[in-house]
Amino acid sequence: MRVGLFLFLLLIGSFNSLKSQVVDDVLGDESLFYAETKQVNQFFRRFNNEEGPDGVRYYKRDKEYHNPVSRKKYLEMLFDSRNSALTESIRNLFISEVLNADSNQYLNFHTGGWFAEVKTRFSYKSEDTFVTFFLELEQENMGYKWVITNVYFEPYAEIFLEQKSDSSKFLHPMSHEIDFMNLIKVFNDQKYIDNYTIKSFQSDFLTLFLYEFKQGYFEFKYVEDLKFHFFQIPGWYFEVEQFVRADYNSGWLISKLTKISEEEKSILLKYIYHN
Amino acid sequence: MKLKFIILTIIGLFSFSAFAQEEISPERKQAIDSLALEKVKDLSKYISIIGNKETSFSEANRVIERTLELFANNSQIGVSSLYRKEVKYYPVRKYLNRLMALNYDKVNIKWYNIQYISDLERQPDGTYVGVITIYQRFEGMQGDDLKYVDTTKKDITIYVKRKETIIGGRTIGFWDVMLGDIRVAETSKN
Amino acid sequence: MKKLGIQLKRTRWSQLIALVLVFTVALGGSSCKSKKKIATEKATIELANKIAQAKASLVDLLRDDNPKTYEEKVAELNRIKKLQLRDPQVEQLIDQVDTKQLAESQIIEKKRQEEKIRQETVNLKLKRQAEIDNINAHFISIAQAANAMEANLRIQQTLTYYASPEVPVLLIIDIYGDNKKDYDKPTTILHYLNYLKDVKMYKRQIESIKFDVNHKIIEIELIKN
Repeated sequence: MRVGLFLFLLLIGSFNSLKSQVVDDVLGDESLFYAETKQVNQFFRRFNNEEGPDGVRYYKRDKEYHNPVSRKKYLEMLFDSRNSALTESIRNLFISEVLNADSNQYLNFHTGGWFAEVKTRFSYKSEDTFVTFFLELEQENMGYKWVITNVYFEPYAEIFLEQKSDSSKFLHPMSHEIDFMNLIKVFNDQKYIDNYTIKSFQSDFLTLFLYEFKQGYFEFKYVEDLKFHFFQIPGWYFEVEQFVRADYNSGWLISKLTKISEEEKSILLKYIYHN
Repeated sequence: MKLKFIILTIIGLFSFSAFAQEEISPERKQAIDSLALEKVKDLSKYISIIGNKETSFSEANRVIERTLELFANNSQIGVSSLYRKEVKYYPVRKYLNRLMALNYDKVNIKWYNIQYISDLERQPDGTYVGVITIYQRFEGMQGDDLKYVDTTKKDITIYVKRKETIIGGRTIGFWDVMLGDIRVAETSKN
Repeated sequence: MKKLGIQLKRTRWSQLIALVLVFTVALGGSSCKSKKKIATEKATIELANKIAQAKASLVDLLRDDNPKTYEEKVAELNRIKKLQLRDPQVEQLIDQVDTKQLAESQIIEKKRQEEKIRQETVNLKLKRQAEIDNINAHFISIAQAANAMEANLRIQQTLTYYASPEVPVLLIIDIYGDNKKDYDKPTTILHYLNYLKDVKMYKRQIESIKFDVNHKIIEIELIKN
């Protein structure tokens, strides 16, 4: 454990500010906690080099604030080291672009471009099930709040996303002359109902969920999982998840990283939202 | 309840003033951080008293009331264990009553010498909110035997509100620090 | 025989008288007048000396850098006054020294008064500090009580120093800018004492105290050590 802490400190590169906190023989256990990225807030601060190795924040006036040398070391630590998909080359490319003196990319808590995906356990019509919520920070007055932007619920998806498309299913253009009496055929067949809607129609799961929730079909149990999607660094997408393990590489870490174009971004968003 | 009444009688005037308008120096922020951390430590001490068999029933109940005064209304404690994803949510009072019923001879709450204090973010109503992360080892003793032990990570919501009151004819500006929801996640069984 | 004896005696007496006469003529008969004169001259010289000395002493007493103490200077002046030297200059000087010593005595009195006040202030401060230490010690004793019963007893004792259990307790968390203070939420003495009992720790000192006419505390301000 001690060796581990030593390595961690070496990685961070600064001992001095830690001295006061390293005491007694509980040290061995604590070193893991020091290394762990304990909060998403800490992920932001480490990513931007806005705090010291002891977790105490830097302010703009501090010399070390945004220091690129220690920032590079932090950035190297912020990946899930057990994920082989996060190759050294992609990590290095990402880090070098983030640190690029011209662009100098920082994460910002308030400016959007990142959102949360929360997997929750509900009881739905008395059956255990998952509901996934997507949340974003929204400004209100002088403050901020997390708001639900989207929801994914598999039973909805089964009904709406697997649409049976049949080109023979339509209301012919003279239906109005017969008082739309042919609607009887439309509503006699649940499967093909989608074929009769406007092209631009998009089902909205959030509305559905709110409706059903208000009907009392849903009962909240607990939050099971949480991750964050980041689109803040131009040309990149990454995902941040929490890794609970007795390891120096633990806490909130980058679990996925990919280079993307603007076009790919909208596809990826659709994929994330399961649309 | 009584304290609230008394506080209200001393406090002639509550007027809200946010600290966004005035730039708060890092030193003042640190003082607020320490104040928040102090409340967290107080909580931990109260929990030790409540969990101890030696504490009389009336004392335990008094301390439970004091503990509740640390919390904002409707605060909950969400507990999960190492091997189960399920989170159990307890209103603070229920959590404390449960703790009292555990009836260990002695409860030791050991702190790891580390804490993480997030930034304070402003919510729409003007109150500031932050999270303090601490690690604790809980030891429930039966005689000299360790009956139960676990190490948990506790993410504790902190609400900070700037308030003013008049005492003895002068205006006292103070930071009202309240604890909120607490997420307790087990990190190891020892 | 007896007659001879008497004659002999008579002879001796006459001889003795004759001898005395001779001596008297030889030594003094004519100098009786000049002796008086000498005495007068001598007295005059002595007086002149005394006046000169008194003048010198008085002039000395008028000097600002005279090293003698005030009491010595007063004694010296009194000594000169007792000589009753009827010399206008001496009298004038005595008047001057009198005036000077009066002024000096006033200064000394003023200084003494100031010193008295200073001493009283110091005493008061010490007394006040002792009182503050005592009030602070109540907090420590509650925090360090061996058990809840002992702590409760100490709380009851401590409360007697306060006007009521609702006396406000102000907890300074930070002093910033131009002596501006940030506080924790104000509480009451009863709750604060119970708090100390529960957390078993007191790491503050008294910043200010206000008393009522009965010398009971009506407000207390504490700051972190």
